Amino acid sequence: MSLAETIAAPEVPPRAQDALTVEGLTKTFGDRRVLEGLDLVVQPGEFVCIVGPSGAGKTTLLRCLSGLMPPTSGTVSYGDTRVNRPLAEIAVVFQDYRGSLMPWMRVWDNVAFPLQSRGMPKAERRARALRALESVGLADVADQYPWQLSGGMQQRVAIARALAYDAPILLMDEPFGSVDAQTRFELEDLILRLRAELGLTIALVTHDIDEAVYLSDRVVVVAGRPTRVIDDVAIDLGSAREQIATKATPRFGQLRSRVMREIIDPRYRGSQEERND
Amino acid sequence: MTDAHAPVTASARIGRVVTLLWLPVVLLIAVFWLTAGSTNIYFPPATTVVSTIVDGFADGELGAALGYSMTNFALGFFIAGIVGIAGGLFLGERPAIRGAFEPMLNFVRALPFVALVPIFIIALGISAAPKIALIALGCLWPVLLNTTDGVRAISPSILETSRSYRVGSALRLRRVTLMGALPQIFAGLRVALSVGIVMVVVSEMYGSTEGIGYYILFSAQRFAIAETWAGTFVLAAVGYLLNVVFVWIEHLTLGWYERRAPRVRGTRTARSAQKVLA
Repeated sequence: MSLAETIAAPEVPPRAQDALTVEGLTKTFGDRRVLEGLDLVVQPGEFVCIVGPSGAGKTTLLRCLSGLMPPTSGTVSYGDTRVNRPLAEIAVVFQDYRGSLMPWMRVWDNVAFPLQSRGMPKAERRARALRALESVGLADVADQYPWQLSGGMQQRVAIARALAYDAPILLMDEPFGSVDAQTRFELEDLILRLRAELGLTIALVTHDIDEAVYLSDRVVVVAGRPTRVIDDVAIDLGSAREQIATKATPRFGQLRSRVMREIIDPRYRGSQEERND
Repeated sequence: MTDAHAPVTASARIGRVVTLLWLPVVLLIAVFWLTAGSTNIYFPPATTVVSTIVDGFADGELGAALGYSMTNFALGFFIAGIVGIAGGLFLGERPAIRGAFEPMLNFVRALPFVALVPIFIIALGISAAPKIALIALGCLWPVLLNTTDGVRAISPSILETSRSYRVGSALRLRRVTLMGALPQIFAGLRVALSVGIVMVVVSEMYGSTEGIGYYILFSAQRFAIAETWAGTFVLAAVGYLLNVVFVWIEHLTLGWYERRAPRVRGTRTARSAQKVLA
């Protein structure tokens, strides 16, 4: 995988039929309000990055989006379906890849495991897992255990699992937060390529502004105490991206500065004590 | 990876056997040498004990005693394993119920089960049933408590992943919860193995007419010291063999766990074993 590779525009129509819609999402833990009145729409085929400072409740937001956690008030819906439990149309890639892969299952089995619940026979599960592993470039380690692989490879296994699940929507929680910079760039391009090839709709949560601007069609900036949506930035960098050239354009710099200014804006920052809890 | 699959040369294998066996061999020779021609009534010559063991098996007495005891042991251990693992999975997955059970579990854990032998025999008679019940009861707690701990130690991200990928509860129990707790379940079963052997002997020392424990006790009462030693050594040998078989099964089942980085596996088993023995 070369770094200076241009990832072209989506080649296939989006597989998602409907938008993922968040309306007035509020989440409270005890007497601490984490999210307040968030509105957000992810259109079919869109790549949206939700970016905000550490501790802004981004993971909470993603857990609400995936149906793993019920909102205190407000709704999350996919088309007409309320997302109040995990849906078959939504696959999640977690930040903690080490914890989300099961060490007692071989790589292919980890990828295929969610399909077992659907009663798919083993041979078919394995074939699907191998296809998904091939698309992330890991077909040759299918019979190894996840703990024999590097961090970046483990995260690619987690991505393959999401692909094998065959959901039109992919939610990602800081997926590249714990890998080294070069692996990070490779994984970013991998996701862009998969999205183009498979027509995925993606919502990705990150604290990394460069990553958010580079990957997405739209950046939603969240910040404050409690967290609100403070900006929604269309990323007009064209649909083809390339790690070095795209990031060197003046427009990239402008967008990046705009998002960064909002995130460090003192009006949206709580006191230091609050931020550290 | 590379070490485990490297071909082992014949000389390396012999070297390993020597490293493992030199001390037992030396001790065994020492025992035979020191007791040779002994006239001390309590420490008969080792050769006498060996011939007593051979004779005991030849006339069927020792074999019958051992068979009776091991049948009780197998049944008790099996019951404890099934109930302990099932109960531990249940309690591990339900924090609310576990909280209600916790004080009782801690009380029972502190109870010396040997103290229950008389009341069991009085209440249930001198048949095999109360003995099996005692063995099962002794073996149950290490399995139950370790399984519960094992389930609780499963990473929350693993459970969250199963939930977000809509893994059904039966499948999750079998392939996630059970497998995740398995290293600690084995640690519990291993403790249960030695507790079980103790319970076998103790249960036969009170109100019994059969079994290896009875054989040892009855021989001692008749001052048949060679027989007493013979029974003791047979019991020790059986306990050792059971442990070897157990380790072998554990190795086959937990290959994935043992081959991981040592820092990950060492701490967890050691901690749980300590907890039960404490």
